[in-house]
Amino acid sequence: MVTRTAPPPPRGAVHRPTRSAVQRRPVRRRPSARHRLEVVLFVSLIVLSLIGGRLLQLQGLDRSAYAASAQDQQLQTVTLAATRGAITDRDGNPIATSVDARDVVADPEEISDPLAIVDRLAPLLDLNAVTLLRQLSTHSQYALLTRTPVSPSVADSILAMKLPGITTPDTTRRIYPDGTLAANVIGFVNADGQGAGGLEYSYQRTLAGHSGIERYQVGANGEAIPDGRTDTTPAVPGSGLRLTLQRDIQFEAQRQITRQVKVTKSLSGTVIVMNPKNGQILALASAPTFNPNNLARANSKDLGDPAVSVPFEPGSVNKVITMSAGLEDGLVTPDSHFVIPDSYRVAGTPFHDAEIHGTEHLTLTGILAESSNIGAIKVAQRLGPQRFDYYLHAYGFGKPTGVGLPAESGGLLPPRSQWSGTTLATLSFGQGIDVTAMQVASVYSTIADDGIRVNPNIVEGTVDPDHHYVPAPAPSRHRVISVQVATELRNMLEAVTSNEGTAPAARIAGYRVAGKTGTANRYNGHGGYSGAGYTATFVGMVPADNPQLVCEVVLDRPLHNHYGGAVAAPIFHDVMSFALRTLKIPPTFTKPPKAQLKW
Amino acid sequence: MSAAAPLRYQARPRTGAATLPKNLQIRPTVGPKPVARSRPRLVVSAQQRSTAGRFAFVVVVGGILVGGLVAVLLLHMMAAQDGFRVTALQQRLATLTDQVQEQQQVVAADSAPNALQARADALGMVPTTISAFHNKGNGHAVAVESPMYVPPPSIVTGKPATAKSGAGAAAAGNSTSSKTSKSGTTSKTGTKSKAGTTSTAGTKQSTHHPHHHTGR
Repeated sequence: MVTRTAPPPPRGAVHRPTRSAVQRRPVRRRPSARHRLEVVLFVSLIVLSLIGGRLLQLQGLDRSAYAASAQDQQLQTVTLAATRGAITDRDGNPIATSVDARDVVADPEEISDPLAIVDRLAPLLDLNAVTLLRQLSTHSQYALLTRTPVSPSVADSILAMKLPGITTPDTTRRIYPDGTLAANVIGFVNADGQGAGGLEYSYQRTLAGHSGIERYQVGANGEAIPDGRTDTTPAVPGSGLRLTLQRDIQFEAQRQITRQVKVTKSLSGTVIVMNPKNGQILALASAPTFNPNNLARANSKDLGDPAVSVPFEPGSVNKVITMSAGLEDGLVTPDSHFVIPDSYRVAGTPFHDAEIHGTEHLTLTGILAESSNIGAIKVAQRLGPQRFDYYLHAYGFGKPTGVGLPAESGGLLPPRSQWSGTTLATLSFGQGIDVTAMQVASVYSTIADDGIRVNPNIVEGTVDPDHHYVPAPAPSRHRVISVQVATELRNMLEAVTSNEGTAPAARIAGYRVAGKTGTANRYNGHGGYSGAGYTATFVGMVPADNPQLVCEVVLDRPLHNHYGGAVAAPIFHDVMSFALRTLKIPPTFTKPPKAQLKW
Repeated sequence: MSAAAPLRYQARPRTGAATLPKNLQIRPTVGPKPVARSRPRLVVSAQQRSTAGRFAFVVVVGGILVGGLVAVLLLHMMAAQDGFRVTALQQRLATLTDQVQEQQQVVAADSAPNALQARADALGMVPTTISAFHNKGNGHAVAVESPMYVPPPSIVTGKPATAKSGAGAAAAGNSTSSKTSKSGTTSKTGTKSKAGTTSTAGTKQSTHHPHHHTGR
């Protein structure tokens, strides 16, 4: 095969084409790989030099200008609000919930025609036109137009109007769908959504959760960079509270006490319904009360809970402690005989009963049923100050119950070292000592639970953000009196509702009712008790031989008729009947013991 | 192997053989002496490329590139479309969530006890009270409910009076006598009334049938 290569020039010969023989051909350099490489290298050198020059320009020459504008590119931090936990009754009905809402915010600097906006927004948001106009005409960048946030649908309709400078940022709002129900217990939140009273305040940390943080990059004009870096720590919602309150019983108790406070023209009134076996509060109603949805119209005096915050002198309801102490220490029996004169002197001071009478022969049961002060003094004298003071403390007086409500008072129990000659006497029938309604309810709950004092509690448990229910720790319990003494006491208290007792109005058809009235003098603020009126109370338990419910009614300074059996016992009857029917507690169909009151 | 035909390439003499000392070189003992022949030089021959093959190669590679580009563009488009759809659905979800919440608020307000009572009053319903118990034994009881008398609205104030179960004549113990329902007797409950007095004046509304409830 013949190759097509040109024959190599002979060695030694110099290839020199002659001018005449060969035309001068242009040297045609075929594009070899090396040449292409050189071209590419050259082009990329040019491009790189351009980039290098630009780099020099940006970093070296225009450096300060760009550094300044980079300052504007900062990370904007936004707080992500945590949803506040809901407060429900024992059946899960919401009493306080947080819902999504929107604020209406204006940027007055962007508003050129405030009048047009006022025209459209003032009627929609129910705002004062003059105030709104002034807000929109200021030289600021932020004006909050709504005091309470509006619902999202209203906010969307505002956005649809496309008004310049008006935005509707997200927020939350606390609503109380049942209005005044348990308002004194639940409390309220302030403008920042933080609890400011009641359980909203004392359980603030549980309900509030933790807010989150979102950091995102913003450009020089303040707008978020769409693909910029974002760091988000999500908010942790608050846990909800499940209360021991029963909504229907709470409503009825509130209805009854509100009406009775108005009818008797009392300063205030309280009803407590509790389960003696576990200390759970089924109803805690006070009057006057307020509507937490409308705090602006509330009277600041009515925002607390008098059942735990306002102590009073209990009067005759305290006699049950005197009796139980005497029985427990074995000093008296329910049939012990006593001679009750009309007037009885202790340390030079005469004491009387509520009604004038001749010398009476009463058993211990009769003393309790007819609520004789002198009888109580005689029993307390047998007991002595030390033992009496012991039982006052054992029943929980002198310290707050810790039920969970804020601003709870422990009452006022004079220390034994400061007792005068008559202190034992006055304490025996409940004067000279200050207690709260909650403490009194706890005393009778102890007697109802066969002598075991279970601490009152109002929070059954919490519901965490994952909807898991976590029960509250079990309430503390300790024995105060024996089962036998408790049974004897209940039999004695049942006589109070007999025809000879002080509270036949407390009887409930079909049930055995045991209870005690109280008509205590109120302290007048300057050294005495005259002219200050009375505190009327009635505390009862049903059914008397196996109490399932305890109910206490307190009326602070009822006018005209101030006897506990007259103004408090009927409210007990109505509320307790309702509670028994709501909880379907049947009667025990047993006969009450025959009580001997006189001998 | 004929010595006359020129070779395309020629194996180079092994360096090993050339440097072996003479006494170790393999020499044939018999046969003719090898003739020294000229070795054809190794030269570069022209490339045997076919233009058809080159064109196909370019087309295939270009096709892959274009196809890849198109595929990437399509994927981006689909991702963008899904992104828009996600945003639209999120907005719709937010709107629906708001609506759900608003309806829940309406439901909560309507099921509040005061709202229920107002509607019950408007319907003319009256509260009931238990007028009798029947003991079934084993801790079971049947309660007989009868309506409470609600007095007509008072003319002076114009407000409807709430039903009050006056407790003046409540029976004691487990007697099954019916209870008197009187209104406006709150002030009289201080007096001690005899047990067992029944009066049919209060229990009107005979058109309402008593309700039986079984207790626990």
